[in-house]
Amino acid sequence: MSRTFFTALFLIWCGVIMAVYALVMIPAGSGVEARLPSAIFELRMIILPFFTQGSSL
Amino acid sequence: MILGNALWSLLAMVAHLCACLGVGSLFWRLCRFPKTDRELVLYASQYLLGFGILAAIFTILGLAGLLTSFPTLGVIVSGLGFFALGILKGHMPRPEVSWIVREWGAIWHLMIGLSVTALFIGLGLGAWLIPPFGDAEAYYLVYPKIIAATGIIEAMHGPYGFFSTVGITGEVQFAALMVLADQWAAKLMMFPIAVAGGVFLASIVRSAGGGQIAQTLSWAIFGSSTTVSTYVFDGKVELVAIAFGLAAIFWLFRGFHAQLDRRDAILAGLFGGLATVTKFSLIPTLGLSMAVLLIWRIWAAAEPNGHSVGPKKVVTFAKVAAVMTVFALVAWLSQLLKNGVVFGAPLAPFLGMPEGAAILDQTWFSPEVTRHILATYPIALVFGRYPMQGGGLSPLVLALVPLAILLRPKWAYLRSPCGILLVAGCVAVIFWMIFRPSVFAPRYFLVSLLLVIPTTVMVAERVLLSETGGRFLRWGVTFTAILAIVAAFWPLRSLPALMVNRLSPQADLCAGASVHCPPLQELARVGETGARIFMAGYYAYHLRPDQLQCRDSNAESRAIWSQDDPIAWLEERGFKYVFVDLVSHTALAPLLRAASLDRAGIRLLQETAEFEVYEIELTDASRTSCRLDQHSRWYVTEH
Repeated sequence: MSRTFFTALFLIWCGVIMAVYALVMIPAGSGVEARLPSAIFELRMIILPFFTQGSSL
Repeated sequence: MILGNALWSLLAMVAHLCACLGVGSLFWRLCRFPKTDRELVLYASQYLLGFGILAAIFTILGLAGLLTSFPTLGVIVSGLGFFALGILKGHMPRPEVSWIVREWGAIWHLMIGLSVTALFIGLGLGAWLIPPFGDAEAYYLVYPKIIAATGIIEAMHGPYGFFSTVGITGEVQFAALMVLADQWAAKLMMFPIAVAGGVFLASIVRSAGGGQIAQTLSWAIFGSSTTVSTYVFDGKVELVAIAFGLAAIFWLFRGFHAQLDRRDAILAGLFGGLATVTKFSLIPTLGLSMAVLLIWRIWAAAEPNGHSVGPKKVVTFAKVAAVMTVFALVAWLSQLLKNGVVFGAPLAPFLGMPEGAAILDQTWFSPEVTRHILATYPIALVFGRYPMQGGGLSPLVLALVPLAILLRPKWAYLRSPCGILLVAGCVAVIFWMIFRPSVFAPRYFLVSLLLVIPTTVMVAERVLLSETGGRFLRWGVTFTAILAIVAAFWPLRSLPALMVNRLSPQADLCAGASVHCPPLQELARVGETGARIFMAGYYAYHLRPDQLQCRDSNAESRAIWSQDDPIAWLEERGFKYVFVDLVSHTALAPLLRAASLDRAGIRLLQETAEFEVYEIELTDASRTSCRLDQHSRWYVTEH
């Protein structure tokens, strides 16, 4: 694996981790959640149950 | 005056910090405990040792009913005296900061360091300005508030009475600071505790061979983990146990290339005991991690080529483990005394009280949810948002993990100092997953969990400093670290407004507080002194101390649900007010609402979307009332 390729993969990985973290951590019912673009809100609704199974936030 | 109050709480916390340092430093010299090559670690160790000793002193004072202004002030002034003497005689460690300048490297490293510093300053301000919330409003600051008002340690009034069998190392310090100043001084105490925890984590990384970059990254992960940052400012005492636990690991782990020094083992035992008495869940997890480290130290670390399981080493292991256990038990003495005096069961909640199982044997989720949580380890530790979880690890841990691929890890790594920390941490986490799978709360095994950080940050450091780590990789790590830190700032976004409010002449007491604050503050304002309150809700912090003492008992809080006529029962038990949390205690509201419409003598006092407060006109039929004794303490008495 070349250095450039690994660096690119690593940066994408960091971006994905931080994006998922941001989507999961937005407080439910908050103003931030209300202002999310619909596509991102949908994405949040797909990801969230994976880490909140059986619970209500 | 307002500014004076704000500064007084700050001053009280600083005085408490210096008193802990003074007492810790005195005992350090008396016991001839060893020095370290970095003075900051010595400061943190002496602070935590003094903290533990003062907690024991305050507990004894509290049991004697003497945790009042003068004795508390006397203890703090004595500690300050030892601190001043230590400085005058040159015994206190000299703050040595030249390494910060000397060992600092590139601009990206500096940026991470400055972001971490800003985060910790923000967390400190949060501890000082953000009102208590969550469990702190139910127990962790309520119990100290009652102790501070009465000067005595008794079973906590209300449904959490039995829960006060747990260790109160942090709570009794909260009470002392409330006696001296106020709740803000108490909350602010968590700032030096958090810094001490960070110092020990970074020092463990350093002992394992980590350089300045690895240490800075460990601070970044520590501060940006919500299971750490939240507990700096919410008013709970979780971090006290975490700081003690990390201190125990540090003293057991440091100097691993030589035989374990007897005094290092004593310190590890003492801090381990203080950690476990403060947080019972650390008994199995920290105990396991320390056992793994001790086995490694005795069998492998001092002589890498001699891994024989000879009888001599077994004896050595037994001796060191016995020394550590004895000193851990010393740290438990005040807890055993407290439970012996208050509950008549020194070993409660483990032995002697049938209700112990309620604290020790908990199940939080259904088998399906538990299976889901187990299947999503370890990412659930970072992304999990389960009820009662109490935050998770920093996303930086997951982000940095792929860097390990570049180092082509081998199994032999697990026998290295850094690898053994990873093993010690993972063994304890796996133990927790097997024996308490449904209790998903990283804070319950956080000390062990944090032992994965040395591997993460040292791998990152090696890659970043090697030829493999190019400019883009370094800036990628820097940007990710800063993003994680910025995310940790999110709960602190109201700080400027809270600061303005605190310094304003007519400060809003509920600014930034939970929804429980306004109705309870109103009840505290209008409620008659000594009038009994039935709290159909968990979070009573904002009531007055006399109201907290006169509230429903544990038995009463359960008995109401089996009454044919709850209203008549409330009148009979002398309850003047009934507070109903409509979210958690919904069933009581319709009964009271109907009664307020149909019956004379009960009226709705306050109503919001979340709460209802009723006032009951008491008659001679009341068999119970709350009365003041000769020590200005309120007790519920039967007529």
